[in-house]
Amino acid sequence: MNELCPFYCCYLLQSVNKRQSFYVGSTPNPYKRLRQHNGSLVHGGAYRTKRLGARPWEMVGIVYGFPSRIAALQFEHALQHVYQTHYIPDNERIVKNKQGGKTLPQKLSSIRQLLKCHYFHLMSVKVHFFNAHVSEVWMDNKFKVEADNVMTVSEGALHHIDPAKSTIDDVLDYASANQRLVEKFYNDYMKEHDKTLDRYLDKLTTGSLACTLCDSTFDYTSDDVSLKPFVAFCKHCNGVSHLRCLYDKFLNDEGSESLVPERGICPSCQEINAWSETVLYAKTIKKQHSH
Amino acid sequence: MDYHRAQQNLQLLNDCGEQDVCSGNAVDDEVADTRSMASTQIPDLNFSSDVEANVQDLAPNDERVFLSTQVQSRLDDAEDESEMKSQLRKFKYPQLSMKSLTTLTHKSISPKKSSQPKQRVAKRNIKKARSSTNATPSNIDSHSRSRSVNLLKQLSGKHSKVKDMIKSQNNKRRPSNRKNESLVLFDTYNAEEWNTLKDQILLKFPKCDDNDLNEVHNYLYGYENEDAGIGHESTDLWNASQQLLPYTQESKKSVNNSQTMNFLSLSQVMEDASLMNDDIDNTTKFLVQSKDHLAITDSAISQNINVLNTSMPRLAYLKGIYDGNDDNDVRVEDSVDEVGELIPINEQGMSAHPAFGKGNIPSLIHRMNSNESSIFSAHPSPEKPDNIIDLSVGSFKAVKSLVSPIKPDVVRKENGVPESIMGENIQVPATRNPTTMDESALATKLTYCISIKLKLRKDRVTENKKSLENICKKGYNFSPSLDQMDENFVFVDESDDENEKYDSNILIDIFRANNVHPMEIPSQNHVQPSEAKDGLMSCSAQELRSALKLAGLKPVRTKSEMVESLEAASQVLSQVVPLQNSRKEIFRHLNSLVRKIPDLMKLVYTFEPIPFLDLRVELSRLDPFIDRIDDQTFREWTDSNGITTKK
Repeated sequence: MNELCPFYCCYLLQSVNKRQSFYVGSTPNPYKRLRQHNGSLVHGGAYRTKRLGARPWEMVGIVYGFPSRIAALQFEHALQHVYQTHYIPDNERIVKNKQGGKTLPQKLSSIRQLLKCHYFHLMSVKVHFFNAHVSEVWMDNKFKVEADNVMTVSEGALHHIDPAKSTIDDVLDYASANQRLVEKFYNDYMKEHDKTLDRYLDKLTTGSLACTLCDSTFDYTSDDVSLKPFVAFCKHCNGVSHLRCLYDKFLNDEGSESLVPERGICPSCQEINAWSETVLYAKTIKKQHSH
Repeated sequence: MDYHRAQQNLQLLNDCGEQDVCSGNAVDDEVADTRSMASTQIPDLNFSSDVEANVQDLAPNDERVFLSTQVQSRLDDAEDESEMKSQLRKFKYPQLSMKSLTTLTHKSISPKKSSQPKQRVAKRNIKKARSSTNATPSNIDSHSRSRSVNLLKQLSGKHSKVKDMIKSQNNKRRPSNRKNESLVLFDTYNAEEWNTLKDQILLKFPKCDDNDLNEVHNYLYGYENEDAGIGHESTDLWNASQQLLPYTQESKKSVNNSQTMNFLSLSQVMEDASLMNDDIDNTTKFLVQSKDHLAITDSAISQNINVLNTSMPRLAYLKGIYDGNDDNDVRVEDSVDEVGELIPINEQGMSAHPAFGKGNIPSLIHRMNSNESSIFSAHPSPEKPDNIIDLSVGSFKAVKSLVSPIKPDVVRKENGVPESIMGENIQVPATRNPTTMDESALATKLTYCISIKLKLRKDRVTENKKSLENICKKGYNFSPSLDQMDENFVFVDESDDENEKYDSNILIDIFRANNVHPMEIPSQNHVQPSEAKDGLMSCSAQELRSALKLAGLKPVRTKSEMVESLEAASQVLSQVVPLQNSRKEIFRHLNSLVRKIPDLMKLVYTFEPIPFLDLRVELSRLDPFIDRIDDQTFREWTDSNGITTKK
């Protein structure tokens, strides 16, 4: 099993000094990565973001919730090559050449197009903005690309800054404020994740549990590996089941012939659970108990 | 030294002048030539030491002048050419007319040997003698060619160049020769011969009169003369033989009804004595579709046989038609045991007619199988051995000559066995090409569509039969016929159906995409693999390539590989889908394969990245068809199903 990380995201950087400069990357830790781009950390970074006059960089938005690092990298690569990616149909392509797609509305529309793609849509990824102006452009949806993904904006999101009218101190303060927003978002997410995971693990420590769908039992306290299958928890209730049983239920509920469901209704509380999120916790639990 | 040479030349000129005076008008050609060519005498400008020797050599001969070999050959050629022209004028017309009157075949004229005794003459005289005695077209031609070859060789000295020039000249000559031959050698019956034929027909059919013959003619050739204002009198046999066969609505209808149309040619009516045999009770059916679909019963046959005192069912059948028998779909039976058997015609029947001498009867007739005759074949059949002219099948073959009915000597007997020239050669002139070929040609274009045989389940025969009837109304034919479908179709049991599903969807879609095969086939029908392969092979490589691309299969180099891929895809697909939607069917098939592997299934629904090649290999183990899917299509499938892949 590959390296498992609870947070994978693809981010969009915008230069504070050169507002027309953007950078797309992916990382499991956006706060750390942003500091690398801005030179706060000695190790790491990216060649393009080291160019003279481009720093500091502002992380204006992220797309997160990818189930694996590979998926996040695929999204990043697609966003960097929107003019030729196979995730966007040719007849719907907004950016049609390598030189195009430099503006913010085009960048955001490309993100929308990728989120609309069935492959990423199944992953139930979410969008978060640290800049209010960028979120407004997102909402404007200049190219009319519909994407029903969850979009959030940080509290206290920054607004537009004019570097020509700003001093160096203003620019550095602006970049620091953005860094704090990213840090806060990442930390909150990880806290929430850890909290949920602890809740699930606590339930597993009770011993043998019965699947709500097939009534067969599993026991993560046992040393028997066969009693430790992938288990799925509902984030709204205490319902637990085999991941496979829930998978079959979700597919049946959707009625699709696809191999992966997008979401489904919990058999216990009838609340909607995203499949990718359920899988993420199941894999994390399984990984922790396999050691 | 130069002085001596000048003296010699002056003396030579004086001698020539004296000879001219002495000979007067009686000089021979050679002397005249030398005199005329005296100005071309080569001045001897060599060394003076050679002069005396030259003078000594020239002195005793008459030809004391050195002539150039090129000039000499030109002279010879001019003479030969003039002689050849005169000979050609002399022999051209009598020889060709003799050929057309006597042999009527393409036999090369044997060169006549010279009756004159060989004489020892000069070389040029020998050539003249040969050209005068063997003045056949072929010899003249070869002679002129050899002369021209020699002349060109002498002038140019390059053999390859000469060969090329001769070759180009020969190529120019060939078409004109063929044209002349075709113009001269084609033959038709004249009015007298047609009248004789008409009289013989009336003699064979005592109850018939001219009106009946006209009615037959009108049926066969329509009323176009009347429509054109030519008048009814012009529709005699002579004029009818020169006219195109009309393509009437009636004949079109008969084609659509898929009924047999075996028309008897005039020559067959005249010569057919095969039915005089006693074994009439056998079962070959000669179906002749009449205007009113008249029919003949067995009793009518026997009645007509009695009247005519012959045993010719075809004639009896024709007679029966005009006697007013109204039964439908009736056949005159003939003796037939095997398909395509050739039997000699009984001599007795034909000997009754004075126009045919005993033992000189055209004797080849083809026995037709009843199954063959009952189904109308849309394919233009090759030449039938019996030379029955099927108006619905093919065009008439143009022949070089016709056997006249008033010249019975053309039928000869070899080794005691009657042999017919008519049986081999007689057909009608090419000017009567039937327009019904248009329909059959269209059907031929769809050969592979027509020949599709369908496997049907027993319980679906009824509903599919109706669909097939609709298809047949559009001009497609099936073998066996719809009436025999219940008996001849291969029925597939429900249990065997799973193993023998050969879906025709992709094949049909290829046909639809190319506007080649627009017909609809019910979804329950399955094309046999061999038939489907034939249909695919008939498509062009470009069409197959586009089909492969549409279906999402790997491009392959050869046409056979393309067909193989499409066949494999057609076996994978289980429902009728357009070719554009075949990818969805392939995706569905891939999904079913993934579900068969629980471990792979677990990796998929947990978003675990799977190496792309490993995934392909894993699925290919279950179904080798996966190898035929191109990477782009395979990646499209993984993306549509949320399968995370990596390199």
